[in-house]
Amino acid sequence: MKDILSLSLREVAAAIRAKKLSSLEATRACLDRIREIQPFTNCFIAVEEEEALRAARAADRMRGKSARLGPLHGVPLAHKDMYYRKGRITTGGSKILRNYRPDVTATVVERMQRAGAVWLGNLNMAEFAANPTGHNDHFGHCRNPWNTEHISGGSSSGSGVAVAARACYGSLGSDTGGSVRLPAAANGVVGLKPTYGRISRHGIMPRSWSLDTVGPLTRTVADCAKLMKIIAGADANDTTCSAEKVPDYEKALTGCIRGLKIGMPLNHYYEEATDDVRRCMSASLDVLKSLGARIVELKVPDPQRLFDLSNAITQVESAAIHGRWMRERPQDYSLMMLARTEPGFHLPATVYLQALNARPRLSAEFIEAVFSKVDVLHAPVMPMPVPTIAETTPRQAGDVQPMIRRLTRNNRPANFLGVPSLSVPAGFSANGLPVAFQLMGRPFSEALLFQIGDAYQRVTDWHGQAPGI
Amino acid sequence: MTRIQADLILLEASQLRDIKLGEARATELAADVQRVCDAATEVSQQADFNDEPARFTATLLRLGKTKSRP
Repeated sequence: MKDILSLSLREVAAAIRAKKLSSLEATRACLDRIREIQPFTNCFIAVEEEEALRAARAADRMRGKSARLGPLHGVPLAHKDMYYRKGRITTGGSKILRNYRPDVTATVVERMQRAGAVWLGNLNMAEFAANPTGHNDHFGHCRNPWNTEHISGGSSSGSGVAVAARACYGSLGSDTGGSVRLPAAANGVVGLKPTYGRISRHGIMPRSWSLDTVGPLTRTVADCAKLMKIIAGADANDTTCSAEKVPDYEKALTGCIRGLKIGMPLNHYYEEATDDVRRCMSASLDVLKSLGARIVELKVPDPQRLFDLSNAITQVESAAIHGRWMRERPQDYSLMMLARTEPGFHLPATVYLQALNARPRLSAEFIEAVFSKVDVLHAPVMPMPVPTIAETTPRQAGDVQPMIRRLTRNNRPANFLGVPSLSVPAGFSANGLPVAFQLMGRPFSEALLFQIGDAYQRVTDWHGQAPGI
Repeated sequence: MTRIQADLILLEASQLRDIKLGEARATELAADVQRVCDAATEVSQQADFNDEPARFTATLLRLGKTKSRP
């Protein structure tokens, strides 16, 4: 058998079921690895070692009985520290919630528990999920395992790092403006921002109600498909959660993409792209072409407008969520969080509503204009190489918005539109950090994104490479 | 259209939030707010009387079910 930590989530789940591996072995391997990487990456806020080992032993005992085992039986996972478990501390990466014990358990957490997963601990994240870099003034910054001087990406920073560094087999993050895709791209792992409403948000710390999505980060697209099947689907506790049937995403992984049309945008997404990112994108398109897909260049309806409108929504909703605390205890917020939220206090309510009101029409226009011509849109997640922590650390409030715009310009349009977007590792930039493309599709087309991403991964090995940390 | 000035931001911060902002920060915020307001104003010019935000999830469902292939 491969080294335990090199196994994918699907492989380790199969090995545990077949009793070729115990959950205890897998969990111990992860905990040892966490001890190794934590001093350098700071990817965990809290590790639940004793409980994880107890759960792993219980999972192994269950295999001996004729109990029906869940699809993630005994598999050790770790999640962004914003998924509520009743009575357990969930910090949201913040000083304010440092000792917060919610009185509910998130629907997705219950689904993972029913599937039999083992909880390793709570992963570091940007404060209140509000920055795309992984900076955290309260728990310490998360650091990229490929080069610890560089950002991990955020806000699901610890998720991207822990999965890349083989400290867990998968993780739930969240994506409101790129917060799954950016850390996935920065760390060389897979990350999905699903269709808005595909996965329940019940029991999850809010960032922006109208844009928040739950998203998995995994080593492979196939692993992501497996997790999605478990967590997606209707939830009576979340009225924005769709009752649309959840397909068997793993069945979509046929390896065949012949005849599919992959769109390459001529505007916006490459405007700030560096040569090395362009090279990785071009190479990935060549791979998809070699698998029988057709590449179609096209102009897309103005994504910059969507970026600005998504600001109207995020800033106002965040201001509403944090208004009281920002009045009473502003000193307990980081500069980045304050600076990102402040404009929301000054935007008229009518502007916020105009942005929300425009969403159905603009989404319909974009989707009909683009996906009547192509099956998916392919673009870089980040148009530049992963920057350093130093160059993205704001010295004053005015530094924040330009930095956010630069890092998230390719991601936030999909959040405004509500469409799914899958980040897939596609090489390395000149500075040795990972590069990724994203595939965007129609609403509820996650299966198609998985089909294409998986086909790509069957003939490439970027996802198989791990940082040497 | 009148541009948003730092004065407005300072007044709002002081009278609505009881917060004292510096002039420089108020100027930055005025620019941020202006940008978003301009985007919202532009799209609202094309809004239909019967548009409403609650249509969004139904729109996603409808567009996801479209069977036509490129």
